[in-house]
Parts: sequence; C-alpha cells; structure tokens
Amino acid sequence: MSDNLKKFLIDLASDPGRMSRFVADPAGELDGAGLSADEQAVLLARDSARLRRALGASPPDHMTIITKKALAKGGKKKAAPKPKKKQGSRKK
Amino acid sequence: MDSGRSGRTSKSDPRRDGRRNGAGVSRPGSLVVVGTGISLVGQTTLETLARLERAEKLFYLVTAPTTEAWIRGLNPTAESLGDCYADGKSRYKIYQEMTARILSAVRSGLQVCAAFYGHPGVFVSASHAAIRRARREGFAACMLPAVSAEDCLVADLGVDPGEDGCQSYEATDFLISRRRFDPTSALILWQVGVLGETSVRKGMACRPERLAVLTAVLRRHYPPRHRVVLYEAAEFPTCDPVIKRIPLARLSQQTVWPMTTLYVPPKPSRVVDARIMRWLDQT
Repeated sequence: MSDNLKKFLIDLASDPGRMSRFVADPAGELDGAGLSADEQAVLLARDSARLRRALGASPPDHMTIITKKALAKGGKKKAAPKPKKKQGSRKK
Repeated sequence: MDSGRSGRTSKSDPRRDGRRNGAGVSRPGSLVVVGTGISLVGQTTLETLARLERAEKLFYLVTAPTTEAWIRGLNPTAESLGDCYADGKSRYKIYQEMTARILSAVRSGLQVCAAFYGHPGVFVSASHAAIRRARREGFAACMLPAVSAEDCLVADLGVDPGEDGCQSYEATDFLISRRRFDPTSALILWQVGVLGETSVRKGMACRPERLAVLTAVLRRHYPPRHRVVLYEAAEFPTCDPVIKRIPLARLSQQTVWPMTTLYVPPKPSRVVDARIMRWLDQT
C-alpha cells in the first residue's frame, strides 16, 4: 500500500470538515485522493483489521503484556481448573 | 478547592517544567512521557502535541503505521522503540531496554519526549520505569494524561462509571489473583485475548479452554443470559468501534482477539435498605 493511504488517513483525522465530507460521501471524498482501487475498497469497507493489514501493520505485538511475575518468568504450570465443577459450587 | 494542587501548581512543579529535580539540584536533560490516544491524531491533546513537536529527542511506541508516519512528520528526531521487540525476547528485557534507551538520551542533556499508544501510564511498564529512574537520577520527569481505551469504551458504549461504580482488571490477573468484585458494579476485563500469555503472536486469540474457565468464573456471579460486550476501540477515523453484545453463556464460544476488551454491565442494583432509608428521612 502507498504512502498516499497513510497521508489520506492522517489528513482525514486532522480535518473534521474533510471527515464530515467523507462520512456523507465516502466515494466522492476518495475521488482524486490518489489512492488505488484496492486502497479505496479497504477504506470503504470500514474494517479496522483489514485496514491494518493493508497498512502493513503487524498484529499488535507491541502490546504491553502485564501478567504476574511468576507467569512472565515461566513459573510452574498447574493443571487447568475444571470450569464445570466450579459452576456447581456457585454461591446463591 | 483543590488541595492537591494548592501547594505546588503544575507551573511551579520542578518535575514538570524541566528546570531542576525535586531536590533542587539543576541537571540538564528532562523527560516527559505522553500518550497519542487510541484513534489516529484526533485524541492527542494540545499539550502533548506541543511536546511531540518541541522535543530535542523523541521516542515513540505505537501500533499503527499511520500514527508512526504522523509522529515522524512532527519531529525529525523521532525514533521508534519498536525494534526493542524480538522473537523469543522476554517482555521484561524488552521493557528494560526501552527504559535504558530513553534514559540514555536524558543523561546526554536533551529534553526528551517518549510517546506511547493510548495512555502512557496504562498498561505500559517502560513509561513508569523511565520516569522513576530519571527522577532518582535527579532529572525532571513527568507524565501527561491521555485518552485510554477505557475512555473510548465509556464514550462508545454510553456507560457512566459514576452510576454504579466500575472495576477494571487485567484478565489474567483477575483470574490468577481471584479478584473479589461487586457484580452490581460494572466490570471491565482487559487483554482477554492474551489470557495467560507472555507474548503476542500473529493471529492469536484467547485459547478456548482458558476462555471457558473465565466464563465459568463469571457465571458464578452473573446469570447465563446476562449480556456482556466484546469491545474494540476504533483506531482509524474511517472505522467504527467493534461492539459485540452477547449473553454471558455464549462468551466461551467467541473468538477474542488481543485488542478485545470484555465489558460486563452491572447486575441490577442492590435492594435499598428500607429501614435505613426511613431513618434517614426522619433525621
């Protein structure tokens, strides 16, 4: 995907007027933006996951994972609890 | 009356203005940690924007290439911390390395800004660590608030945490610490998609057996038809947030991605104690 796609999104996010025009007439606003047919299709789909892929974004591997230290350090694994049994001991 | 600010306003706080440290010893170099919000560009505050533009050295860690392109356009010194990540490298080492890189620039006497996706103090270890270490070493350091995923959730779901209260836990911590909570207040569980994981892999989702355990734990407190929400904030201006409402009983059958948040609305409020109410009316 081209830098034009990034630029289009940044412009859209920076300019509420342009954003309003996009919401009212997406195809019209895309016209003349210098985007390929594929890029236009991705934007019109309004699908975050698809747009992320089109932008070449990896899955959110930069996501901060916060877990208990023992888990992060690969502490001893225990057998998974059995949900069905626990359901039976529900409080009333 | 804001007693918290009366003694030392934000303008006179030496930790904020970058002139000297809390002990009064001047040292060149400072650190401000900021957040870019969740959605591209629009959720960055004016104060944060100014810091991004004026920093003598700017570090960033964001998830979207669009946000990265925007940041690089703001400041030519911008440098990604993303290369701290590597396959097989522990999260602990990654965050340590980020902190070390930020501090190295501060020690060289620069006015440093470190920008993180969302709120820089929420689910970000390196930001807190960098500020603590900078202050310990005598540098001015502060964090600016930003729009977090929780802020987006409140806006998108139209819920007011002030009405019944709100409890917020990281999903793994919620399970392994057996967190005690009040089901008549809202419950937010973060990172359900990486329940019990120490890293994120391509295409990963919450393991079904783990989701089943989480569902069972919640079922002890809520009826099966209690409707819960799987939520993802919108990252791009052209996209809507993901809002999927399902009965709790069907939660274990869902595919829950790393960025998905589980919102459990409160059960009907507690019954008011009529005796206390009467007493209050009479006194």
